[in-house]
Amino acid sequence: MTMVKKQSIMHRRTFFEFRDEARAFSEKFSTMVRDLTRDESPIPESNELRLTHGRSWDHPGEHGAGELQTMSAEISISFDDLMQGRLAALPEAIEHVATQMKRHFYQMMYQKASEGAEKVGNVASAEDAGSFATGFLEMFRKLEFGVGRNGQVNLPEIHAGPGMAKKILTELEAQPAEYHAEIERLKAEKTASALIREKMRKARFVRPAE
Amino acid sequence: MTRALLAIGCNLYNDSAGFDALDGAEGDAQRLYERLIQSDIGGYDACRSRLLLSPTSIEAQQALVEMLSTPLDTFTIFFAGHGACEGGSVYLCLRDTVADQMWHHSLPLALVFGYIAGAQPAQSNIIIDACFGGGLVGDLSAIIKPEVLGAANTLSVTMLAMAAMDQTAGELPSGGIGTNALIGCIDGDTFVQDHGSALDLTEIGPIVAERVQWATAQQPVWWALNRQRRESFCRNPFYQASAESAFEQWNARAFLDTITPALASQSENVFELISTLERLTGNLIERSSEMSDAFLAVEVRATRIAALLDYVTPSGAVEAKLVEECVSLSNTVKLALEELGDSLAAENYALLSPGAALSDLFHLPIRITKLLGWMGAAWHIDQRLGSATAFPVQRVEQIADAILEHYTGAITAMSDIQAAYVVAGIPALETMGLGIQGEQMLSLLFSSLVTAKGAVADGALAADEILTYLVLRAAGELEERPRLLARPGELATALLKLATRFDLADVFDESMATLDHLPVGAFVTRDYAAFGKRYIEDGQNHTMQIGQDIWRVSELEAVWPPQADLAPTSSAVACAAITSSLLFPDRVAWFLAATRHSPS
Repeated sequence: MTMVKKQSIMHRRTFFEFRDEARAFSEKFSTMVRDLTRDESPIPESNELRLTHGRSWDHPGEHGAGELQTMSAEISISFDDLMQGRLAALPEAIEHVATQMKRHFYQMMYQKASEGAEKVGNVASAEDAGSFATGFLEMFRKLEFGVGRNGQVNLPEIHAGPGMAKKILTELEAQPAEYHAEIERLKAEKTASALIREKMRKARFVRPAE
Repeated sequence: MTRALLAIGCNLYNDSAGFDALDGAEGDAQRLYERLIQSDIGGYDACRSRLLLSPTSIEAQQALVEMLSTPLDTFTIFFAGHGACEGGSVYLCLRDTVADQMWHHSLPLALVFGYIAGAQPAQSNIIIDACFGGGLVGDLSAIIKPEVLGAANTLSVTMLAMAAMDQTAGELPSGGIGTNALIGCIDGDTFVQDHGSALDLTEIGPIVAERVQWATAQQPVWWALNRQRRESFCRNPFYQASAESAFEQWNARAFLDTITPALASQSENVFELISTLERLTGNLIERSSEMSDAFLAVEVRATRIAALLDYVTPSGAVEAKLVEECVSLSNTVKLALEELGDSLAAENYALLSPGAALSDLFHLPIRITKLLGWMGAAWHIDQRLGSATAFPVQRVEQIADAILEHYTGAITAMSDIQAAYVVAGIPALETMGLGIQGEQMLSLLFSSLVTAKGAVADGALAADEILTYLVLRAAGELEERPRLLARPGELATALLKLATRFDLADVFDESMATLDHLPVGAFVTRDYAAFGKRYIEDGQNHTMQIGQDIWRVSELEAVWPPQADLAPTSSAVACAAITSSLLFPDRVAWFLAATRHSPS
């Protein structure tokens, strides 16, 4: 009589599991992906906040709370790759995850920026303005410059896809001198405003008694 | 406890025809005596103990009578020499024993039992390394009587004979075979057990028997009569090593993760759950008190509290147990504070690590606030739950003054985990009447925060990043590595929040410009029963930036969330949340920082 053992996947026999090492490997993989994602983040490290508990935060200057969002990425590695020792599977997996996470992050960042701008009416439409250049000027008029921690005025950045960026530059460079003069005038005006606001902001601190 | 040992070793016999001279019996008695009178091995009182080498029967009997004439907690008699079993009785043969008149000039075991029955030491141990020692069973009638045994607090007797009634006891050049095995257990050459700090003779007996029977046909026998508690024969050499091993990698979170499945399986029956938790942690708590870190026992107790917190229900058995555990923790803290005070009084350097490692530049500031935090926890527990013992305010004052005098430069804002300790400790100083010390500590901490421009280490900073953090902080270059820093910082929040309480708001306001751009915050939850969990889901992170949202302490008070000041309704949960925040300092019991004075 033949005895046949039935084994489920969950209870199958294992052989030298390396459980602790596998856990450490998985943690290191996650850390590596996280660092890759962060290194190419457009957000300066000094502007990152790290929260330990909870899923939401609030801020006195904002209405409503912020909520944590999940970014996820999926990789698949075939059993064959493992069994054949295909080491290239590893950097491919890391790159794949990092790329997906970066894409999610940028999507989320631009979505949040758009929502924030729409909320306060900082939206300019090229279509409504008649041309991109006119729309750009309208947008520029709405901007407020900020001042960094080093006391220097931060000029705004333009984020666009490669094709759009080229189109923007081409169209702006084609504008007449009056257009560029207006841009420079606005730049100077907003720089001065930024410095005044910064002075007022700092004046809210108590000065040490002399 | 008074413990006395009578160790008799007889090599020499006047009746040379009846008894061969022995080589090792005196040595056996001496070896055992020298060990057991040491306070860290047997703890037998050297003044009450006797070592008799080849004594006469009168000398032995006199010693026995003298030793038992005054009350004893533990009496142990060891005999190595010739033995005889005649007429159902065992005779310990001494120098003047005559072989064919055993009843005369010997020490009959029945006599020993009679003396013990009369003197009634709480515990007696009788060890015989002599031929036919197992025959003592015939003499037990001297003590197995209702007048002697059976009632509460009557004497208990443990006996170990190295040879059965019908066997001789062997001797090697190194000593008696049985005694060698016994000493092996005492010295730690032979493992008995590692779960208790002391060895009971009933635990040693089977190990000795096993060792002796490995090489010989000799069969030791042991008995225990009327045992009413666990008794200590000698200290357990494996207990300390095992304890050190158990705590070498002590990690409260890892321990909780390990026991959580066992507790979860008992969650339907709280009494079983409590019992399971006590079983899983009781030994650890006992062992932790033996370790050199005076506060390790506090943290182990806090781990038990954190485990219970997850299962608390209003007015349930778990809540009652939490009260009991928190009170015990408070008492443990008070003991540790006594030791701390004594240490600081004896030596100014008492708070430095053994070997005074350079890493103390990082850890000493944390250590100081941690001490304050646990002191505060004990105070808060006493205030909320009551205590049978008075809180040692004077001792705390002595400790605080010593720290302020000798460790001024180490009262420093170093890591964000100090927030939990500061919130627990500094308000407690004020409440117990040490407001001056509290104010000084708060001022020093805030001053150092300002000097560092708020660049306090992230609470989760990896150990291998500490050196980098310190080097960059010393160079004033931490802005280059913002990921090493707490963002938002709860320590800064805690110090600013406490300013109003100590009327330091105006003083602190003058330094706020130096902290411009610093993100600060507070995680506030209403689910304090979750304070023992790794991750607290329910709650809100209140973030703000100095120079964007607040410029003064009063503005922090204005935006401070009201729910942060609300303590849990249950005092037991409040106390457990406090201890859990100190055990896992990435969460702060903000209700302790509630401002008691009106903002100016």
